Formats: sequence, structure tokens, C-alpha cells
Amino acid sequence: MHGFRTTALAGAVLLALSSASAHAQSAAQLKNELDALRKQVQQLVEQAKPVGPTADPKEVADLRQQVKELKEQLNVQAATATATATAAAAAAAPKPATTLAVDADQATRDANAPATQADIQGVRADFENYKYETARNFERKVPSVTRNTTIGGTIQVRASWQNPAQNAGVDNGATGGNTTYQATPRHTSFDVPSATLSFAGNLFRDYKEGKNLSYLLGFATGSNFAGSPQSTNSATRTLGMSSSNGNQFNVTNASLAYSFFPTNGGQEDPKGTLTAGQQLVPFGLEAQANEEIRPVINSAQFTSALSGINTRQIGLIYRGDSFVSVDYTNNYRSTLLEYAFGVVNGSGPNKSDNNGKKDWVGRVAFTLPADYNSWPRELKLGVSYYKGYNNLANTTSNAVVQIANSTRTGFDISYTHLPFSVAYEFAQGKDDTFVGLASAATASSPTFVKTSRGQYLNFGYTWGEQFLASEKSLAKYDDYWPKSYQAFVRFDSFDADTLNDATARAGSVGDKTFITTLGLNAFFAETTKLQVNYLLARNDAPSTGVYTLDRPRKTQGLQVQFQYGF
Amino acid sequence: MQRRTLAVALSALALLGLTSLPASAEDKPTVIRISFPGAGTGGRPLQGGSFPSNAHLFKEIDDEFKADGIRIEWKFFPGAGPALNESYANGLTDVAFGHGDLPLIVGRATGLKHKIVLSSGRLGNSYFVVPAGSTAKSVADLKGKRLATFKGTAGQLTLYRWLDKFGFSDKDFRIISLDNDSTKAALATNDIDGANITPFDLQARGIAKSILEIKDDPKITRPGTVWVGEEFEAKYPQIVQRIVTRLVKVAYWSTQEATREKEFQAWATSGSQAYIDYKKDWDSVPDLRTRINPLLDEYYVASLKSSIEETKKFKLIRKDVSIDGWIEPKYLNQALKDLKLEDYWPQYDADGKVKIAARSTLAAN
Repeated sequence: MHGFRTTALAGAVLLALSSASAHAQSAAQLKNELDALRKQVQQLVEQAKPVGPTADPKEVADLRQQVKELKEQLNVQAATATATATAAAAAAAPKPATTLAVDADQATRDANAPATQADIQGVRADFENYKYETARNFERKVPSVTRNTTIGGTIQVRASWQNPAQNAGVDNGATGGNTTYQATPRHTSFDVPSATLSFAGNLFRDYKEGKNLSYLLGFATGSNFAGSPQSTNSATRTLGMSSSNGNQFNVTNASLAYSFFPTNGGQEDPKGTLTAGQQLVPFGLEAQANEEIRPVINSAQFTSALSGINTRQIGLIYRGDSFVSVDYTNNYRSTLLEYAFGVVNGSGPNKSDNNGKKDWVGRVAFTLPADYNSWPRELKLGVSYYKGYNNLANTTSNAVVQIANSTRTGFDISYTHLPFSVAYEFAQGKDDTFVGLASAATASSPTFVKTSRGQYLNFGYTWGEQFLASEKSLAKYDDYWPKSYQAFVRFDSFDADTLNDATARAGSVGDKTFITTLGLNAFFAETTKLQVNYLLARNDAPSTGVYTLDRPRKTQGLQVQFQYGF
Repeated sequence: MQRRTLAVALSALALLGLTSLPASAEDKPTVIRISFPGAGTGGRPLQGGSFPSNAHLFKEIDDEFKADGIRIEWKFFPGAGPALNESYANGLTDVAFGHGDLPLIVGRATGLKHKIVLSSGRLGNSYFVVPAGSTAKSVADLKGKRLATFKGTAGQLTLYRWLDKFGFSDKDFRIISLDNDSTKAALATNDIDGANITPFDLQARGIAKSILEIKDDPKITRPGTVWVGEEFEAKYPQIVQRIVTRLVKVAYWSTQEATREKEFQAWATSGSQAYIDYKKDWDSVPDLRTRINPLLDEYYVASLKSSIEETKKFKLIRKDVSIDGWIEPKYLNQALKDLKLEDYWPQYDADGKVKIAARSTLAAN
């Protein structure tokens, strides 16, 4: 009973103390409250005195200790009250926050109620729990990497139909392993044409100036049956590349890049990056467009037909821009001059140089300096050049007998002012080619320069918000992504030999294909799109005048493809 | 059969006629797209610090049009004022609830057509903040160092005015572009040497400190702006009037001392500024009408003109900007009249000094 009474009194004093601190209004009020407190403490002292032989010495000692602590708190409170009174007297006007109106709302009352030690301890405990949980989760459930890394990828899932049917393949080396050839002609197919996996990040992050050293590593897998309408014969078209397990999995990008210019200063800074390793070649528009932004399912014919620019290459390439202008309307950046130049093996991806000569590539592009709201915005003109050397082999012995010149020149003009977009690209290849049969070629066999030419014209109309940075980054609680729809038509032609004279060279006719593609793309989630393409491919007549099943006069096709990224 | 064909043809013509009728000024939209040049931390669709943000936080505009079946589509752009410009340029915004001077001006300079209908607020303290361990005591001590601002926003002009005030230009520093959250992080990691940012939360966390403070200087900060797209304004003048009137009501409510704490706590929910930042930043404002002021008075007009000159001086625009026909005060005047608030707010002269004092009482109408 005695213990209960003492505790109750102590509690009352504590309550009174905290009450005083919470509602200190003025010096007079504080003085009254302090006087009341003193009386209560005095009563406690009186009760704490030994009252008889039955008094428990330990309890008395506890009470004395409590009284001592209460006195100390009282002294602190008195000092605070004095300081408050002095400050209040010195102030020209009373602070509004300390004068609560009777009908003050909860927000105001909350703002004027101090936190107790218990409140602080509660927050502290929550915070410690959070730290513990985070540390443990990080340790046990979160994958870690040695350096900063972003993982991404793209997967394509496709259904296609064509008429006339794709001709049956023939048995060849590609049927090794678990693959089988296409036994009969087919109109339809389901495919996973491509699945990519990429890793990108910083090896060294320069916080001061942003001159970062970054890396890129990418892999791609492709179905053996991906096939391509541009393939020259049914075997490669239907069977694809030889592999032992039915697909291919290759390194695509493997590069290091160093920024010579600051990258964290702002958009008005020029850029300059040297990339070493396996990478896309800076030639034209389509050859270096990634899957996410390419509107058409099949790339333009020349990008796969012209060697050198149709694959990634290993080497050193410097890319940069100059004469930057920024329209601060929406921080729109345009560069009068973009440039890229470099030296590569020329033998394609994942291969050492296959001869003693290096290939050279260069590109220059000009963008009209314009405000974001002006019509000429995003009008870009570019020229590209690739100087390479190809091995010419005797196809009987497979021995390389000559190193041939191979050049690619390109011109492109594009205009992207949403909702409209127009792109035209021209590419021409010149390749030394044996005049006679390659099966009997020697080091002194005469050659001629074969010219091949490809070009496409693309008109697009886009509606929706996906390609607007402001809308893409809109603050939302849910997994929001603006939708966009894109309709386009593309005219694409490729002529493998522009001579087009059967009397001079039989192979120069029957080698031209013109593909018209009508398409609709629906971008319905971040990095995910549904593409529907209708194709009409027309081939020119061969020198014999007779079309074959492998190369019919006209082919219609329909492709439906989901492409999603992560 | 012929009769049926005729009926179908007439119906089709009637439908065509109905759908091709030009919209009259009496029409109401099905949706009003209202944009804020900012967002909460972590991409939360929230913003604080002004009475237009109260109109969102307390669902005032939603309530205004609820009975009409008009949906309000709120947009919050982490890309701030420049992103709002992009949205409007692409026909995706009808009304802006508080655009800073720089993006407002460059937008107009490049052809964006809007009508300024009221101000979203004015004045405010400005701080020069450095990392906690910095030895800098003045702007001069930071010469040649890295300063951060969110380029393209009003903050860029504010920083340039600071530098100008102390005899420097942006060329004397390395100025990098960071948004508000990134600036706080960069101060914590010493990746920048200084920035204009409200310091109190950072100070409490031991991350940064304020070395200089300019309180409510009308030459350092400029009023914010509420505008409506010209096309929207021409098509739906009654709707514009209702938006403005409701905003003025909210502005009035927001100036009541009794709502001070409620506002701060609501504003702090966005996370972009902590409660303590609002609390301490506004401590020096005994009368909330000093900053929460929707008027398009002489000070507003002079400020806009000054900002245009500064924007040209700092080479942030290439073209001249005229304010002729830009400011449309009729909606604000009507709202003030309808709500009997014509003399409620103080009116300032071109120099930012009080020209006509505010009504002496805060009593409700």
C-alpha cells in the first residue's frame, strides 16, 4: 500500500512536470505551477520519512532516491521557466505558436505538443528495427554485384504467316544436334526470334565531373528457325545457323566506355566518349537502332545484306557532339554536329581480325538548331562511311587468295516531330568480286567492283504519350505508363548488284527485292509493345525469266510480335 | 427499301452534323487536366508549399466540378516547369497551378500560348546551403566550385540573382543540374559545394548548413503563376472563372492563422520538403497573406518584366517576350468581387513595397 501510494505520488509529480513543460504559457503561470509542484514534492518528502519500526529500509532508500531525482528535475524545470520568462519579456511580441486558441484544430495542437522521451524511444526503436530488417534482407535476399550494374533484356515472341508458303529446306549441316530441317513448305510459324540480356554500369563513377568509365555486356539468343526472307536460299532461310542444341547464344556487346567530357554538368555540355570492345557500328540510322525504338519488325534489307555494317564489330570508336543548344522550354537538347569515327577488325563479333588490315568507320550528322516548339525541330541529316577489307577465298580449297576492298557509303535524313516522323536512308556497297568462278580463284584472278544499293523510306504517325519524357515520368502511385500507338508505312528496296544487265552479268538481275510494310505498333507498357506488320515483297525476274519456289515473284506476309523488355 | 436507305442516310448526316458542330463557349469539358511543376519524393503525385497545392490536397477543385461530372486529371511532373511546358506543348495540359518564372517565360518565348489568370504566391526566404563540413562562409569562398540548381526552373534564375548580388556570374562557378532530392543527396555526399535549398531538415540531420539567408526579398524570388491554355480559356470561360474563384477561396482559407499547421503538415506529405522546413521557413511570416497572395498587382507585372530581362541577360532565351495580352486579370477581379475580398490582400508596388495595405482584420467574410 505504501509502495502504491509512493508510486502514485511520484507519477503525479512526473505528470505535473511534463504538463508544465507542455503548457508553459507565461512566467506567472509557470510560477504557480512550480509552487504547486514544490508542495507536492514536500508532501512526498514527508511521507518518505520513516514512520515506524516496520518501515522497510530498502523502500525508504528507494523513496529518498526518487525524491532526489524529482528535486533535480524540479530545478531543471525552474531554470527553464526562468529562461522562458526572460525571453518572453524580452520579445517584442508573443510567439503565435505558444498561444493556442481554444478551438485550435488537431494539427495546431499536435504542432505545439512536445514529444516525450517515450515517443522518442518509440521512434528510435522503430528506426533500429527498420535498420536491422533492411540489413538482414540485403544480406540474405538481395543479389549483389561488385560494381554498379543495371540488368536488362528484350524478348520477342512472334507469329507469322506468308503466302506463297515458305519453301521446304534441304538437309545440310545445320541438322546436326537436335535440330531438324523444314520438311515441307509452310505458311505459318511461331518463333522466339530474339532474347537478349544486358548488363551495364559504372566501373568508375566520377562524382565531381561525371567523366565516368562504364561498361556494357550483352548476350543474345536466336532460334535456329528465325530465318530471314532475305536469305538467298531455302536452307539458310529455314534452318538458320548450325548449332548443337537448337539455338545460338552469343556475346553481342562487350565494351568499356570512357567519357572525356563532363556528363553531370547539364544538357548544354558537349559529349565525347571513347568505346573499346565489341559494339554496334556508327553507320546510318537503322543499323545502330536498338530493338526498343525500331518501328518495323524486320530491319531494312541493306542492314543485313551489307557486310561490315550488318554486325557488331570489335575495335575502338569515339562518339561525340558539338555546338549544343538547349531550349529551356523543356530542356530540349539539340546538337548541330554529331560525329563518330573508329577502327575495327571488320571480321564481325566474337572473332579476331581475319586479315592484316583494319576497317575504318566514320559518321557525321547535323541537326538543325531549333526551339522545341518550332517545326524544323529534330530535322537531322547524316552521312556515313565504312572502309573495309574482305577476304576472297577459293571456295574449293577454302583458302583466302586475295584481300579485297569493301566500302560502304550512306546518307540519311530524318524528321521526328511528333506525331509525324519521316526517315529516309540510302546505303551503297562496293565490293571487289571475282570475275570468274570463286571455286577456281587464285591470287591473280581478276576482280570487278560490284555495287549494291539499299534504301528505305519510312512514314510514321504516332499518337499517345509514351515518347514524351514529361508524361513518361509523371508522378503516380500505381505502375503507370502512358500508351502510344504508331502507324507506319515503309518502302524498302535492295539491289545486290546494280548493273542489272543479264547479258553482261547474269547474276545482276533477279537480285532485287522491294518490300512494302504496313504496320501498327501499340506501346502499352514500359518497354513492351505489340507489333503487327503486313508485308508485300516483290522480287525482280531472274535472268532465266522463271521465278522459283525459293524466290517467288511476290510474297505476302503477316507478322504479329510481342516485344517486351525488363 | 429505298425509304430505309434514306432514313439511314439522313441519320448519318444528322450524326455528322452534330459531331461537327463547333464547340460553343457554354460547353463543359469532360476532363480538366491540371498540372503542377513538381512532384513528391519517390514520384508521389503530391506537392506542397502553395495555396494551389492546397486546392489539390484538400480536394477543392474536385469538389467544385463533382456535380457537373467533370473529372479532374492531376498531373505532377518530377521534371518540374520544363516538363510542364512539354506537356502543354503537346496538348496534354489545360491549366498550370504554379509555374516558375523561367519556364513560364521561355515557354512563351518559344510559342506557347497561355493566359495568366492569377499568381500562385510570392516572396519567401532563400538560403545558400553548403555541406556540413564546408569551411565556406560566403559566396566568394565558393568561387570555382560546384553549385547545383535544377536548370530550366525558377531556381536557376534565383541562383543567378544570388551570384549577381555578390558580384559573380554563372561563369565563375561550375553549375550542374540536379533536382531537389538529388541536391540533398549531393550535399550529403559532398558532391556539390553549394546550392539554394531550404536547410532546416538537412541541418537537423547534420548533412548541411546554411551560410547565408535572404528573407522575403522581392528582388531575389519572383511570384509563381497560375495559367490556363488560350484554347481552353476561349472555349470554357465559365469553367475558368469557377477554377479561379475556387482558387481564390482556397487562397483566403490558406491565409487563416488557424490553418497554418494544417497546411504545413499537408504540404510535408509530399516529402520534397520536410515539415520542419515549412515550419521554420514560415516562422518569419506572421501574416500568411504576405506570401499567399494571388494578386496580379504592380509587383507581379514588374517582376515578370524583370524576369524576362534577366532571362535574356543570362542568354536563356533568344527571342524577345512581350507581356501584351498575356495577363488576363478579369477572372481574378470577378472572383475577388464575388467573394468580397478586393481589399483582403496587400497590394505591392513595382519595387515590392506595400502600396495598399491589406484589410486589417483576418475575420471571415
